Amino acid sequence: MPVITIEFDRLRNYIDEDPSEFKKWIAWIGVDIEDVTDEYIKIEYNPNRPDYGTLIGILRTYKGLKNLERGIIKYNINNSFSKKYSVTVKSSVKNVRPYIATLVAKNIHLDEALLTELIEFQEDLHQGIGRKRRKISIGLHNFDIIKFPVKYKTVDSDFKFIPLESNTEMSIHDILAYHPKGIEYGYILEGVSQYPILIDREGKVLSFPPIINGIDTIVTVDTRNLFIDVTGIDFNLVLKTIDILAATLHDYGAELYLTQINDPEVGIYNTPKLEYDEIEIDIDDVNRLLGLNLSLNDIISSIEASRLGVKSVSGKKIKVIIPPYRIDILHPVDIIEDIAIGYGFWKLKPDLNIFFTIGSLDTRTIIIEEIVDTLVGLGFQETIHSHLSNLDILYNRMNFHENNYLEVEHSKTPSYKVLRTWIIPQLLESLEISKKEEYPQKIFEIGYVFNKSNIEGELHLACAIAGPNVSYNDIKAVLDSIMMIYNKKGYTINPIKHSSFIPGRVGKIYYNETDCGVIGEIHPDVLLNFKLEVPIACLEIDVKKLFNEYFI
Amino acid sequence: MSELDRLLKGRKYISVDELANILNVTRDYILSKIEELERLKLVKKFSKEFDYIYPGFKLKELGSLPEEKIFNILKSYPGNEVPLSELRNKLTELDEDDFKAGLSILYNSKIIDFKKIDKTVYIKILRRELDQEMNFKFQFVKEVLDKEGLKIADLDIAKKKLLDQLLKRPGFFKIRRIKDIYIEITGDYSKIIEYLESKWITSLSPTIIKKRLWIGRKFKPYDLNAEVYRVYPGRAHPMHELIREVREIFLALGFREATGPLIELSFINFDMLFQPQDHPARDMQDTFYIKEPSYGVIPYPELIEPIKKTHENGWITGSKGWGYTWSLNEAKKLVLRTHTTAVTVRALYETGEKPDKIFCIGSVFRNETVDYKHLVEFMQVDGIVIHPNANLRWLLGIIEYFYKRMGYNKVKFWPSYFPYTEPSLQPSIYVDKIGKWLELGGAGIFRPEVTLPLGVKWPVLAWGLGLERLLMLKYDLNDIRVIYKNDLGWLRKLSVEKGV
Repeated sequence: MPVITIEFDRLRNYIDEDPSEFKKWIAWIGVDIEDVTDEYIKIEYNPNRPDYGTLIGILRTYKGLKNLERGIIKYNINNSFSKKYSVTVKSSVKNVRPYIATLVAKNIHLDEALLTELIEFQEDLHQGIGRKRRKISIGLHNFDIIKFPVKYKTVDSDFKFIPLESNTEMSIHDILAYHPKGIEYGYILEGVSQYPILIDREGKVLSFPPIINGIDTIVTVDTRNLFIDVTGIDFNLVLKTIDILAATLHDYGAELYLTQINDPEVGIYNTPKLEYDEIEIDIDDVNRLLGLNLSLNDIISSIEASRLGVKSVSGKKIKVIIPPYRIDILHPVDIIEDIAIGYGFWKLKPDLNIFFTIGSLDTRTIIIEEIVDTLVGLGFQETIHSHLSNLDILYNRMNFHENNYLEVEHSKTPSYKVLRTWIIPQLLESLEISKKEEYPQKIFEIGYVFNKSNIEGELHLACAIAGPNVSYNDIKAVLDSIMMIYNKKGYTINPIKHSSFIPGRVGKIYYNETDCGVIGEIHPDVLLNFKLEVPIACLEIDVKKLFNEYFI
Repeated sequence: MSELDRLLKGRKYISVDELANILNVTRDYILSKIEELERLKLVKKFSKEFDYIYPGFKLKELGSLPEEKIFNILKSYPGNEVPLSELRNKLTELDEDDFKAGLSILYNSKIIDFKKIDKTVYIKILRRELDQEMNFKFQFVKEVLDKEGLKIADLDIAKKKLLDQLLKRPGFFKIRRIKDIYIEITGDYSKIIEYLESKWITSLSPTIIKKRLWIGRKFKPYDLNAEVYRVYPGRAHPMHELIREVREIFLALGFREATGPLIELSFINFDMLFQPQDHPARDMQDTFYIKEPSYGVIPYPELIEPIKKTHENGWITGSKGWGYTWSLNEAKKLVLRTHTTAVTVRALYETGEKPDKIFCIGSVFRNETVDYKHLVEFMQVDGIVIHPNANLRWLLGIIEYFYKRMGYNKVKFWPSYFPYTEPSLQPSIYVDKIGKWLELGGAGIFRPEVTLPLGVKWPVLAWGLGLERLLMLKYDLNDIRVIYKNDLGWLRKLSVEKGV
């Protein structure tokens, strides 16, 4: 989740309050405090609230909660130059990155801290709602350099300009191949022969979305006027993103100017739109869901504390105004949560006077618990391994092979790649880890194994005994004991060939003419593969086959 | 050097009888000592069968052979001639055959002779001393009587010869085949001597108890704090123990348990929970997709349309939806379930609009790089409450009760965000041990976009948490990997911790 760091020195410029208050109350708006010192606080915010990516964004709700400011903020936008500040979209971009929205923000005081924050904010938007720049990407530019109209068009891969983080001209091809940002985000343009480019009247490259900006329009602490572009594949999100940026810059004191996009498909439209949405809620729904008994006034007050607005009230219905920077309101329940936040989560009292029901366990749990008790009684230590393992453990080291195993895609940790097909190899792995401990060692596990014909999983019990004097008899005695306790009479062990075990000391367990599992003494070759130097006898039972009466 | 020392020196095997002999104690006493020595692994006991000669019933009754009895009377007789009838009257305990046999032996040995005067038969005493042969015989018989059993194998040739003769006389001797107990010396032999010579009872043995050998003797006091060997009990895994605790709390609250598959459809794991198909959590970077087969069959085909529409435009849920084109193919992909909410949402659909409380505890998976903070698989608990009056404060009530029962008495609730709940919240608990508040788990009320396509208009409370964190707190672990490493060095030494 994205994190924003707020220096208390900087905070003091925006709010007349001791930072200790901020520390105390900020989490009640629905953000996490990741770290706090005397100098700064690190705040983790949820991806549904991208508007919390700046100090000013967080302060909006915070001030509402502290009753310092309430209701919605009015966004003024100067439309006098909208025809001038225009972007012409060429239809060729429609196949690559079809949508664009822009804004102009003037007279902003960009100090080092704010500039850093804006760049981080941009990156958080890229990663979050932008889905790693695929859905939207943002370019910040020095407005004063740009000669309008700007063109949004496509170019060939040999088109050259000087990108940020480079001193020399690079072709699109080279940027994608060698520039760090090209390497990181080039996948978005995979299979494309024409590349999107944002270029001004004089041919200065503003940006090559979604990869990198041109160096000409670089933003520094001396920049006073900003031009911002948002491009992407989701028109609605492109418009919302420019709104979020506009609201943020506005609240930082910038003057917003409307820009015009001339789109061959959509037509002419102006951005940022900064439109207020509306949604209707019912007072009874609010109280029922929160378990409260709030009056109309309480609810209105809570709505305004969350920096939403009330347009009208009619009976039990309230029409709520949603500011343009909010992208998370899909349903009236989203407003209800904001009411709870505005009301104050700390005031919610837990209530356990709820309805009566009878608790019960799943039958599977009951049989598993019985088996665990039996094995524990026989002196076995239970182990729990991951259901994910790898071919080396499951087969190579076991000198045994089959190919109906299930694999997962792109595991970040190679030792967890294949769903276990049996448990014994994992027991041997643990015995290897435990080989410095006193013998005899007796361990077991009950859990699921998988294969291609069994994706729902098979419940297995596996036990192993290791020690200098251990032999087949020791594990057979355990099997006999289990069979005796569960009243399973007349089972046999039919010799089989299995390369993980010593020939002549391995068999299948047959009960009621069903193959219920395997029992035997591990082959010394396998032992040495696990660097084990004591005999090990083990068994693995298909629980459902042996205890089928529990699974009806 | 004691006698015992001399006896044991240079020997690997020794019989129990020999030991009993030399120590002048009974065989049973020695056997009790041997049990103890065996336990200390100083000796190994084994047995062998031997023939023993025992006095027969006649010999026991008479106390000596007839010839000796006769000889003893004649030896001290005043005259040299004795009337046979007089002699017979003095030896009424002998039956006629034995009397005759005794006389005949003395006659053959030229100790007596017979003489007939008128009709009376006299015995004439020729000698009053025994010859060597006779003396040897009488000594041997005495030995048999005294020893109550002589091992035939140990007898010298002369005695063996003699025995052959004696055995021809029925009722005087018998042979019994008995087990002879030996020890093999396997340990430090000075220790063995020390044990054998001590008059203490070191460890109590079945023989000592049965034969009451402790009476009149002292028990050697033990060093009660001495180091002893280790035993390790069989135990459930600590995570399993924690699961039992958690489960017990849910049962106390009237929750019923649900279980579900570990390999799950994206449709259930994500789409039914209103997670948009381009949500980062659905990335291969975060979720394990099954390679082959990569697609499964959606068990609730009737839900496909409602869910598709809910994602796209909100359907009839009153929501705007996510505004994208939903793909059935994406929903059919098989994943390792990323949360147990996949199980509770299945249970919710199968239960429908009926007041109920359901929980699930099980493994969930995330495609992570494993390190001290992250695992690819961990244990999660999830609970849902279905009721027309279900509300946020009930949810707080249940969670607060849960943490209090786990031993965390201070619980706070913060607003939070999850894609499938609204309102959403995050509990945090105060952990005395570390003196800090910790955020643990997540909760909320299922969004209408989740419940309405399933035909549930009632609010459904939902909450869940990962259990590893609780376990780490319980056992002061800094590295999450320890939990599933199954190192016996750790598992065997864990102390029982209830709550925190």
